[in-house]
Amino acid sequence: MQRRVFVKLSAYTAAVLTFPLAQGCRSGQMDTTSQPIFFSHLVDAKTIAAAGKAYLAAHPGEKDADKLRTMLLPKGQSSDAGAIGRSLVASIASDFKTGKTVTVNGWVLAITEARQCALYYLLQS
Amino acid sequence: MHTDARNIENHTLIEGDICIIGAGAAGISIALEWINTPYRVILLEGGGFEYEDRMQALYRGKTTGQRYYPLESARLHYFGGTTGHWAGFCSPLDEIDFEKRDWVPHSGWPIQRSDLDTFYARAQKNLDLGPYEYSFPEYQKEDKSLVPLPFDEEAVFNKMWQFSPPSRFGAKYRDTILKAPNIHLYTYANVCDIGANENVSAIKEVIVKNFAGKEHTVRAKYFISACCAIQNARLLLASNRQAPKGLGNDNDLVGRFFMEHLEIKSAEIWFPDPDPLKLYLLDFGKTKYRAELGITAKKQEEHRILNGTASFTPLEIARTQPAFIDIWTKDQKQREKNMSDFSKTEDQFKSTNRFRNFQLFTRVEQAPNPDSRITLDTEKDELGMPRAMLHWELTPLEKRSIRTIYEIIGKQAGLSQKGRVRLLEYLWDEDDHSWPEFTGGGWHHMGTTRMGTNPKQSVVNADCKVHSIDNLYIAGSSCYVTAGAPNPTLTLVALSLRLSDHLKKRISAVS
Repeated sequence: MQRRVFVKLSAYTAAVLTFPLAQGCRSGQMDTTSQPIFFSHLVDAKTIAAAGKAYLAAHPGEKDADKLRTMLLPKGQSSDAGAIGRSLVASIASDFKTGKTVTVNGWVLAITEARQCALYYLLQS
Repeated sequence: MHTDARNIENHTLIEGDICIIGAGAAGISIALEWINTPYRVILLEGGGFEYEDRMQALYRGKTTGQRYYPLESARLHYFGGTTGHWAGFCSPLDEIDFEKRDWVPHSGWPIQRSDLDTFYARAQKNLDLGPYEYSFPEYQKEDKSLVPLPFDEEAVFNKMWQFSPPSRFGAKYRDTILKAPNIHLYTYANVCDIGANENVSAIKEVIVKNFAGKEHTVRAKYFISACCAIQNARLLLASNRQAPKGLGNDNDLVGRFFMEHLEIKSAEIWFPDPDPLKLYLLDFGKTKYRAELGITAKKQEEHRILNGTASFTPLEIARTQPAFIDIWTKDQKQREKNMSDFSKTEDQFKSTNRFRNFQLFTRVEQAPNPDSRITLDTEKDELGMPRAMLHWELTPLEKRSIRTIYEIIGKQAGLSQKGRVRLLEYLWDEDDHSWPEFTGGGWHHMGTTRMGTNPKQSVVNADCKVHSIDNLYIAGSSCYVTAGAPNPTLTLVALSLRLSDHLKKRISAVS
């Protein structure tokens, strides 16, 4: 099971890195950090942005792209997009395991992917 | 034997050893147990063998509080009772349902789940179910294609259900009852009053009436009221000639603690890939068993929530379906059309099993609440009996429980990387205790003559005998202390069989 999930997630990672988030994105501004990989395979960009907006409304202290990046990526994180993607996937898994979840617009998300949504919202607005 | 009470001489005196009031799932199950015993059993049914609008109108009653179905349409008033239109969903209560839970006020039965296990096994046969087995791994041994969602079993488990054909007791057991030499069924025998002895410590007789203007008296050594949760309470409250507050109601408990199952769409689960969810989906009339997602006792205790389950419907189908509360109208023809339209929407998904997104539908117990209750109206029915009034009242605990159930499932969906869960909007605000328009119940009425050891907190004892009355028993879901998540029929039949065994021991000891 673990391997199956890993393989599936790797595939998503590759897909997302190859095809950045879709409609409404301003090219050049988006990066791996602002793309909640698994969630983006379920919903459209509008839904991700709406979740991000709702998250920021509940956490106004995080309404800063640089601050969110700092919270999302560990110190010394490689700038390699693949490494960042894998790190975020691992953080999301860890969040669910340790109960670091948040409900935004009804979605039960890992805090990491909620922050990714928030970053996405800030970058596209 | 069978007698139409309209066709016998007025003021007939009918006598037996046991008098069962009501021929629905509980009453018929008990009557069947007494066939070929040396005792004469009188089985009283208010209606006949078919549905009649005039008879059904006796169940009409006002409702206040939370929006509810028309009372006259929620139970059937003829031989076989509500099994005449039930859907056949069966699953036993969980062990935790019987326990005293400090986060659920008024919880705690005087019996345990283990006290009912042998009776559940017998009830399975009455309802044409399979073996008394509700453990998911046992089903998977038989069918490897039943793939569970990869959730932590310490948090979310597969609560198994079996489906009765569904058994229509009226058709299934009519001949058996009519041919039984010691069972005497009287149809058109509506019990309108219960008469007790001078100090109201024992029941002497019941008075039955019908639309032919006939009134008869039934005397027996033991009486069992098996009329359904609303009518059991109504009958006790209306029998107030000798006890002004009603029989068994010295402590103002009869009719209180009315419970329903909240059955309401609550969330969605989205998967990246289509999933047939064979274990969880229902093809009505064909599926013999399925699972719903249950929340473990450990998690219920940790989060201090009520017991509830979640079932799946493909989202694109669910979004076209109106809520039960809007389908179940007063007008029978309109109701049938609505149900037919509803079934057509379900037929759509039979052509495919490749859906990615599903609606999660909750079935959750209502917290026992003394203010959720049945009382008597000043208006009377055609036979002169005060009508029942329902005040259905929910508490914030129900809504918090539903929200928490989906947060738990949502975390499991994320943890397993299976999908993501989205709560519906009415659950977003933790401080909003209101309910949406589409809130409805499962047509399950429970708790109006609750069981307990203390007469100041309950109406019947662990044997379903009214505390203060030596020979009056109550059968059915009105005795429930808590509702659990499952539909009540299996448990009420099991409880009725238990009552019957108790009474057999008692009557044989006296004989």
